[in-house]
Amino acid sequence: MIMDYAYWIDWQNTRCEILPKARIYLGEECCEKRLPPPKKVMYWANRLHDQGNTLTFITPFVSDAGLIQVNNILDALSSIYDSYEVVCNDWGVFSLVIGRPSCIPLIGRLLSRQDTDPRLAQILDRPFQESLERDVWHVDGTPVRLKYKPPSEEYKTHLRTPSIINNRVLSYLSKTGSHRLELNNPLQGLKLELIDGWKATIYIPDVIVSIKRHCSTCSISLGSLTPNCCNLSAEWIHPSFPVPLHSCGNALYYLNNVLPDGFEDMGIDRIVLNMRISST
Amino acid sequence: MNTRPGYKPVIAAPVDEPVEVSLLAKSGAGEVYCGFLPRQWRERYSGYDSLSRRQGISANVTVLENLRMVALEAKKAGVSSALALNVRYSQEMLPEVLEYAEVWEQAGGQALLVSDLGLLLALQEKQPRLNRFLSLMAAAFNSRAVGFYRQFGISRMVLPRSLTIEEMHYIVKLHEDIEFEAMVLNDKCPYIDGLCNFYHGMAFPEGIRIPFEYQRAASEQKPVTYAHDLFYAGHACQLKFRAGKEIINPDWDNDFCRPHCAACCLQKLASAGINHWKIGGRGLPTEVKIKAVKFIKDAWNLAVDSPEEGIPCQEIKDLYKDTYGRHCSCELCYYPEDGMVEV
Repeated sequence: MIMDYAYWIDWQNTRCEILPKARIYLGEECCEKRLPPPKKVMYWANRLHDQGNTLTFITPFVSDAGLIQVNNILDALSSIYDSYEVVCNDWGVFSLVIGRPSCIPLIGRLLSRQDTDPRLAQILDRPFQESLERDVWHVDGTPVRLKYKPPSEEYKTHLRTPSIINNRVLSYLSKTGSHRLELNNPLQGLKLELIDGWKATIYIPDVIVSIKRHCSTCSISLGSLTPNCCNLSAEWIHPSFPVPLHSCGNALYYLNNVLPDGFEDMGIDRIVLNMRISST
Repeated sequence: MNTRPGYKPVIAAPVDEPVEVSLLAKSGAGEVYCGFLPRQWRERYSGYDSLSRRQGISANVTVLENLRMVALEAKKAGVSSALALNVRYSQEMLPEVLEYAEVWEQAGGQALLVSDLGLLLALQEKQPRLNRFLSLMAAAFNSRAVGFYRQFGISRMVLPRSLTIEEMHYIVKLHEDIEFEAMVLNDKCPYIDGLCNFYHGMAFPEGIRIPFEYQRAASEQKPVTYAHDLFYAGHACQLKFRAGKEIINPDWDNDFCRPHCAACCLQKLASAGINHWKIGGRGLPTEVKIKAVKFIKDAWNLAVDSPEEGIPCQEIKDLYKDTYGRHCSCELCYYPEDGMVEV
């Protein structure tokens, strides 16, 4: 299988160099307030089109107001590109996209429904867990020996498989013209059994863990949100987590640069390198 | 405000035991909901949040007979009942999940709370009599997303708690022929339910006595309990993270003695066409659940008795203080954009 490399660039960084003819990911997946304004969309669409780059536009989960914004962006992109991909992280956006002939819908990471808590990798680490066996107290006062129970094969499969990978779901989505899943690369590994016609993308190095209701950066700015105010990234550390979390705007993620075992045989034929992570 | 004759909002309360159903119904609940976590499932998929978003034996019905009893007791008490099967499932899990749904249906349960697309499609094929309620976990934030889910037979939607009431109202107006439900008490997590992948495990804190299952084995001197993650320190929303020199607390003060609350917003929710009000708190003691139902019922009565919208807010705050012994605050407000202002 030929591996396709794509580059997710920061739309605010107009000075970044773009590899000609490469596939470029542009947009936002976690916050509608960080979507590029129409002027910037046109700037990037023209520049990428002129360089022969293929385009994948990433959209976030949105409110009804955000749907209008996404619709306007798609109008702008469709005036430059005859055909381009749109990563959907919201079923409302998805239903908007499938009605547009120039758009190829991709199922985004937030719709693929994966377990990405980094602590799940520790569940699979038998020597580590066995070293923690100890006495605990039941509420009835009984001292009890706490012992490790290795997860069953079914549970391991569950932890490694996005729930979107379900024959019924993929068959249903195929009818809408979707054939690609966008996935995290979680520490506990991946197990994919895609049905015919489907391919998967994994993102390196960022793995989304959770989305906060409020953006910490925005709260500090007391409502004076601009697209620029969410680029700070703070490292969150807790001793029970095997890796630090990174807080960026309203999202929490961790980094994993190691590709999963046997990824070429699982239908993964695209790797998205998130260039924004290295630039922050 | 929606105070037309006969208008009665439905309070949905959590239950973990059949005996709680009649007590909560008598207190004013019009609906009960529960989770299910039987031994057979726990053996295979852990006792974590693998069958519904609540982990452990305290927050779930654990025996099939009790699950049937919850449905029967609800029927007897004249309240409706919903079973939460509201997390994501892998394909291999679905036959068993559907079996539990069938047991629930046969026992007279009325609805399922669901979010998994695979489960929704499977239910669409089976066409059970059960109503399908779209859980918070489905993360439908706009009217088009609701439209998307409606093709799978959704008759009610639980609105994400990250929406403002104004945003909710917009969605309701475009989908007037289904029911809507919103959270009104307890469990206002800092993360967005359907987009949070932190798992809910079981912590065994040092020196603290907690409920769990244990067994006596001939080969062991002491009784034994088993877990997949012996290092689990707690839900991520409750942990304190270090960020440089600062301590980051996701700022979730989930104290059921001083619960997150939307009582001041009940009028607005009713006016927005949201007539089902959910109280969180599976796993809480029965008396706390009863207190919660009574509090919301009394708050609504204060709102109804008020001649003008917005007037009873102070009375409701006083009721909160009387009920929970402490003042409410902006941080505890479910919908601060729409509800209370600083006293």
